[in-house]
Amino acid sequence: MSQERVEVIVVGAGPAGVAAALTLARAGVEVVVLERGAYPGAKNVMGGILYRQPTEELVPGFWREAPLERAIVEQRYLLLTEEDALGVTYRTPAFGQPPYNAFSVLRAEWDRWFAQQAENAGALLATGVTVEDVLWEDGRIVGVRAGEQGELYADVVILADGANSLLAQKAGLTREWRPEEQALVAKELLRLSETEIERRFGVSAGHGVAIEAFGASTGGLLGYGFLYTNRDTVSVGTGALLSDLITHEVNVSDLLDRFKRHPAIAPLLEGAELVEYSAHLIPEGGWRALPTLFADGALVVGDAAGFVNPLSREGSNFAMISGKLAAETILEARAVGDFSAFALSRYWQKLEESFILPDLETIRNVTPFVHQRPYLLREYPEALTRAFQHYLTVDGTPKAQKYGTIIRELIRDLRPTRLLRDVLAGVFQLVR
Amino acid sequence: MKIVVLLKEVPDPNAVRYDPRLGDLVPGIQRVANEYDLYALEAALRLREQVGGEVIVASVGTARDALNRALAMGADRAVNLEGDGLPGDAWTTARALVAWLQREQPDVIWCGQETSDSGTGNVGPAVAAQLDLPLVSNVVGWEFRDGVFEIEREIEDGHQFQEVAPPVVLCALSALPQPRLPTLRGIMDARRKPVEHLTAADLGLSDEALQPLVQWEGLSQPVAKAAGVVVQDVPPDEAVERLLTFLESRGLLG
Ligand SMILES: Cc1cc2nc3c(=O)[nH]c(=O)nc-3n(C[C@H](O)[C@H](O)[C@H](O)COP(=O)(O)OP(=O)(O)OC[C@H]3O[C@@H](n4cnc5c(N)ncnc54)[C@H](O)[C@@H]3O)c2cc1C
Repeated sequence: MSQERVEVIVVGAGPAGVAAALTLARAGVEVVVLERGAYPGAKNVMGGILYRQPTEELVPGFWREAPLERAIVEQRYLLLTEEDALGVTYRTPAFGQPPYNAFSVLRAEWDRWFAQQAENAGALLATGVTVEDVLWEDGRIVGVRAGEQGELYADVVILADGANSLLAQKAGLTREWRPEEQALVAKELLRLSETEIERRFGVSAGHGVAIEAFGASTGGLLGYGFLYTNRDTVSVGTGALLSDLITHEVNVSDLLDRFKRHPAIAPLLEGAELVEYSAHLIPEGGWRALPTLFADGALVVGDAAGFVNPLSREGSNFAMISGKLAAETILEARAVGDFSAFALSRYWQKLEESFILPDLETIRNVTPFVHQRPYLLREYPEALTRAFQHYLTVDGTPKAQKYGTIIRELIRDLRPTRLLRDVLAGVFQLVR
Repeated sequence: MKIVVLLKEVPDPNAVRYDPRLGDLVPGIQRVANEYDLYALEAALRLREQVGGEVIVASVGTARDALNRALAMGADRAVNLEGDGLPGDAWTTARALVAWLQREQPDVIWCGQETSDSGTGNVGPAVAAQLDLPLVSNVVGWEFRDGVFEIEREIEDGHQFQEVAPPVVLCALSALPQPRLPTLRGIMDARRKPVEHLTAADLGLSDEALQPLVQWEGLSQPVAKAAGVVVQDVPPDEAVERLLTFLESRGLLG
């Protein structure tokens, strides 16, 4: 029997795979996306903030027609102790007007819409297909095998199968991920009415809030709790590095329960009805765990390549832009008819010229930084909330005396030299 | 043998959610092929493998993805009856299908016993009635031998065996063999298979012919029932005592 062939196979219809397929299809390349879910988004979890600018690089003006939940106009950062919360809020009307900055989305709907754009451009989307392995010939990757569903051959295979990519492992492009390179996140989708969300979060119709909470929201582990408002649901979740969860014997769904019961969070969720619970891995090995990103006949994109910035909850934009850059690499390779690792290595260069590799490099030491300072997410929130409590309590103590106490306690708890060292170290990590 | 499979796209039963404010399903639920219909298609493909011929899938109403899936599984061609007045209710759906089936004159019409959305189970019987064909419902097993179907059907408290010769309408249940997964080759081939789009006008159907008989009045959610009281593992006398106390407490004993 003759081989069934296309020019490019994309495995996975998440943001990375679809962005690649869309870019290729627009350039007239014959591309097939193989997705194991019954439809794109069927198996996807996302806390759900989608940034406008990177998305517009793929579908200009998408926000006029895509299924988006709310435009995020306000960001809250909270530092939590067992009971208290201290926070910073930034809000601007500018984020609530075209062209907007970011949106909350529900993956099940967004992914389907995004995949539809690729189909409209001419990509073939095949759902219900689980790819089990890549096919090799003379040391080159030449296609994929999907169990009893058969084989398909192509000039290039793009691995876009998400976090913990089994295909990249089977293809020998990456070693097995380690527990310290994955975060485990538990998430719930809870229903409230549209008006109730607008009342509780103080936003007008179509506008929403994103909250990120550090400290007790993860039991002091490296990670954060989040809460995003959708149209008539809220996404709430929390998670931490798998290795930390294991060593501290913490269960993420317990963490999530505790986060939801926190006095600063519980009133926001009161009476909300559970729609869906899920748990998911986020690759956080980043720079240190980068797989081989290109091989003879293959490229790795998105979460499969570990392209996530956990610090600023960016994943889908890394996914989409890496998918686009992979597609552009293939277009250049196709022009000269050479799909060798050498020709596809242009992908690395493109990643270096974009924000993707530079950002991963910038944050490469965050995990060790926090691990060396376990007090950061435990003692600092305690000390700071205590100081605020004293400051705000009116109890007849003369102010000068009160301020003195606060300062003395802060010096005792925060240890200024240590703090200064931490701040400087932190700044050196992140700024160049 | 010319085999037709009737296939409908329904909201994904795993994703269906009711929106109390809309009084309807939440909008935008992904649509998938009705499960029983895929069992019917699998039966049709097996029949073709046995006796040769052609499998045509037909759907009333938008069904692009479901028809593509059927073609990828191995159907030879697809027909989509769409446009004003379609799909309407089970009656108009059957009307439209009959107008088309009269042209095709198939030997066997396979359909699912019912759909997971409206659940009327009317389309197959209505088609059979309008075409004056025999119908066997609740099919859980079949063999085709010497020009005759030997059919096993599920009934209230057992199984019934029937013989019927084509032309015939058969309604499938999910005790039949599992629908096959499309192969990658099948998926690629499906792109090259014909999909015919027909409107009511193409079929010569007037607006009157498509008047639905049923008007839907919207959906509502059943009122939640209180958890019952379970009396278990206690001596009979005590059980009776508890039951009486319970009924009395609810004012049910006069
Ligand atoms: C709880 C949580 C919250 C998040 N919040 C945000 C956020 O607010 N903002 C943000 O930008 N990012 C967020 N992210 C990260 C973001 O979801 C990911 O970075 C992004 O989805 C990566 O896209 P991808 O296409 O690489 O992978 P995925 O979206 O994981 O897609 C992979 C696809 O491949 C399919 N697949 C896998 N294996 C196979 C196979 N063998 N054969 C066929 N198909 C296969 C899967 O079904 C899936 O559809 C969050 C992640 C999590 C877990």
